[in-house]
Amino acid sequence: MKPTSPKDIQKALASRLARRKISDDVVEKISHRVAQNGLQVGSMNFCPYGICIDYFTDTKISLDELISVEKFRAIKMFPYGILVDDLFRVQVEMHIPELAEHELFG
Amino acid sequence: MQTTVGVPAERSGFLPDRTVHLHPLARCNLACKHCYSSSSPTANDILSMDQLRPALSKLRGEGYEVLSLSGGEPMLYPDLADLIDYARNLGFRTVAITNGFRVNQRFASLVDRFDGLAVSFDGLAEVHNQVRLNPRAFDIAVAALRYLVDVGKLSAAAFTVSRESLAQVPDFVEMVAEIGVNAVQLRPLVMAGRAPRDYADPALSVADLNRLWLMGQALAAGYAGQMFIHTDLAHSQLIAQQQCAWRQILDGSATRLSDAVNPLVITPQGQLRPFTYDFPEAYDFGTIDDLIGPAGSDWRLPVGRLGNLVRDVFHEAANRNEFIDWFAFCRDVGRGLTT
Repeated sequence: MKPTSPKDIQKALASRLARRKISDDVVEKISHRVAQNGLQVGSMNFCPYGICIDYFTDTKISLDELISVEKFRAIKMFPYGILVDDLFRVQVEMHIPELAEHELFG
Repeated sequence: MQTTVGVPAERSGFLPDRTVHLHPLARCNLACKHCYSSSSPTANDILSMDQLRPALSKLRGEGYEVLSLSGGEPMLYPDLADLIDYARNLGFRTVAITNGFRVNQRFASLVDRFDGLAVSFDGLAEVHNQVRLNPRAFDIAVAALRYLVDVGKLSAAAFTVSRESLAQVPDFVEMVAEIGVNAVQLRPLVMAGRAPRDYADPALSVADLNRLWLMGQALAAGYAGQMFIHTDLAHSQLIAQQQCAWRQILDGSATRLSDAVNPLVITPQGQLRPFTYDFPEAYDFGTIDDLIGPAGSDWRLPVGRLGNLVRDVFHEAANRNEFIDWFAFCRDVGRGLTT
């Protein structure tokens, strides 16, 4: 059996969105969160909490704001690499029960 | 673009290139329900090469780099070979958006002249054919994409997203990825031309736009490295932070037309219009015939009025918290339609 790749998961997420298996309210919450702060989306995946989103940023972001205002379940932030030492990868994990509790594919 | 060796040209608006959207004719072999330009087989407006040659020369001097043809169906333009050859000799990169009916071996010499072609879609087969009012339209459009890939031409699929086609986006993207297309553009349905009368119900809601944007992000990540996917939506708050891209029109320092108006639309009637075909005619700033008139006689850089509009648009965007199609948003602010 072919292993599931991260890209397969991202395509499956798009399919679940397209088939309206994720409610408008949840979509609004995710999309507005993702779009704010000028952060460039690196990828989106399912995670134990529902959905995790990788941002890339070369600007300072406020972790306090992310933690206190957004109520993410988890935030991971680390330098992206030696060659681009001022670029950071930020992974936030959001609690989306529709995605966390069931099978991944749409 | 490089204006001087080693010195990149300043950005002009949100497009990556300074672009002329030329609609050389209004005629089309189709009469789609949602056509923003109300094109049809009976539409007669057309621009002659005698008008276009001097205008294109002038516009190249005004800093435009890309000539993007639409219509009507651009592949029906009777002097298409001359038009593309002339534009390329001026240094324009040439692209077009087509319904695909004339993208095949029979028209190879025309296809070959373009740097790239985009084929327009409105959904998978059933929805597409219903919107196009033609039962063969989808198969022909897909065949056009296959032909472009086979001959190694830069190819894209431009997908107009409506409520009818929103759920079909992932399957469509998968289909064109298997064909080997270079890019997909996801374009929210705009209420212009024939659409408000014949195709208003499928307009996307605010919730649909949220969903489309997130789908576009997931698909872009899912096909990264294989195919470029762009969604014509951005968050209003992010847009409000990007005013620097419009500096030359906001501070009045634009000296060339492309500094102020990008893209520039030329209608089949020859009107010079900012940004979109359906932009309010009150913002038209002349005709292509005026472009080549005596210096200073008939047209001026539309910096003042357009600058005020762009300023209003950014102000409006800063007060919103939603995903917007920037150019449609500009049009709506220009029409006084935003609430």
